[in-house]
Amino acid sequence: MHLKLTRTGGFGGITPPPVEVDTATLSKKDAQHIESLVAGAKFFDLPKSFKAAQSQPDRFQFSLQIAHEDGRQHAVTCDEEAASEPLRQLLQAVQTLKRK
Amino acid sequence: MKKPLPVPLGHAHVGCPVCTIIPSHMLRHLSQNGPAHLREPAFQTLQHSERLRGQRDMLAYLGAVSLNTPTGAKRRTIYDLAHGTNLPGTLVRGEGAPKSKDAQVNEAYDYSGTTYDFYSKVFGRNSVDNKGMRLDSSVHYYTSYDNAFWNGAQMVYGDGDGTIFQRFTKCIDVIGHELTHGVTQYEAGLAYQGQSGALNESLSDVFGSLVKQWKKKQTAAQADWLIGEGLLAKGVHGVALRSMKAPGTAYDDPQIGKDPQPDNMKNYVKGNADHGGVHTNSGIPNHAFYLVATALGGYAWDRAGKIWYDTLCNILQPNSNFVAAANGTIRSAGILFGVASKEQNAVKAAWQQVGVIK
Repeated sequence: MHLKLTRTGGFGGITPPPVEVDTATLSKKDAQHIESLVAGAKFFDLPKSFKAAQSQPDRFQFSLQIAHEDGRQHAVTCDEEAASEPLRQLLQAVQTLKRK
Repeated sequence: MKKPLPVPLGHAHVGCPVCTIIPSHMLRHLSQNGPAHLREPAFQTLQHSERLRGQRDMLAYLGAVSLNTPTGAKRRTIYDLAHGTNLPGTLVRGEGAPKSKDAQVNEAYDYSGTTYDFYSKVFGRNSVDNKGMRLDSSVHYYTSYDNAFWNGAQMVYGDGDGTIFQRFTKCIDVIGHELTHGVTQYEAGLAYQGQSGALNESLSDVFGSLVKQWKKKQTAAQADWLIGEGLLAKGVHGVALRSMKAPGTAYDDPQIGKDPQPDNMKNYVKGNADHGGVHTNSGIPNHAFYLVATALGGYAWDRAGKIWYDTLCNILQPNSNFVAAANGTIRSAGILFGVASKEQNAVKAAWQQVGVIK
């Protein structure tokens, strides 16, 4: 599974370079963790873009593209504060992988 | 019994855990305009359900006498999220309580206090809502969280990742910035997108910077006019997150890119990212404020700050754009200091210099 995460907004208004992850290059444990988070977030069923009903100042926005080896591809852009808890966990996990 | 989670504004995915048959707006109306024998019961019901929801702003909205505090009386509560995200977290320091061992708790406490004092002493404002609203801050939000935000009811601070960002409570102007989002919410209500959003951001930088200058007793000439100075970790090539004096020069580092802020309308950044570049295009009104403050000299909060505060409270609307802000501050300067005064001329010249008006 190939993931690409872009983060914009935030207090600093800084856009770091996108994080790209290929689960084939991860340890089995990390790869399985990412896959279960993707499933838990029901990622491929999410709308292409969604915002919070009322924006909270200085929150992030995330853009996540995933290409699954089974052929499914999807891209989601959302306000941080509108993301479900499972989606937040997926976003955090992808960002954490980059730091490792 | 599981404690219901507070529902901050904007959590669209969270179903409301406390659902009442009688809607809030009806109870609110009854409590204020209903038959005499129903007003108190309606108010009690509303207060009870809002307390369950953790919404303090409803009680402040009703102006309940027991919640109004005299101007000058701070009520601060600091919470520790312990790297979770369920706001507000565990209460760790209340108003008047002794210092914590946790530097972030103390910084959130001290700097929200200074921000309160600034608004109170300089503008006669009683807290974020001008009705003595309690100042709640939560620290240690999530893990390695490179951010701070205002959720509509409270301040929230991350620890930073340590490599690019340090802890967000470190800088007094960050705290002043966040609290000012609350002030703007209760005053002009500037919509957080496009030019109105960039104005919203700029006001937070302006008053965040003024809080820092006021604490340090710096004149406009002595101030650094930097936002988040000291927030970037060692090794990052940058002095701050933003510069009001020289937008676009605050940082240039491969890990975070180059400061994209324009200082003039001719370089206005279009596109959808960041709600239409609210943290980027804020450089233009930021620079206008800097120009006014330095043209007039002395303490920036005395005249430039007063003009901007008056405009925020009495002129700006949710959909105000840069031109409206220019015209509003020019008008406000005329009312406060006189038409064709040095102050009004400085405001007009500043907006001309940044290309917002001819």
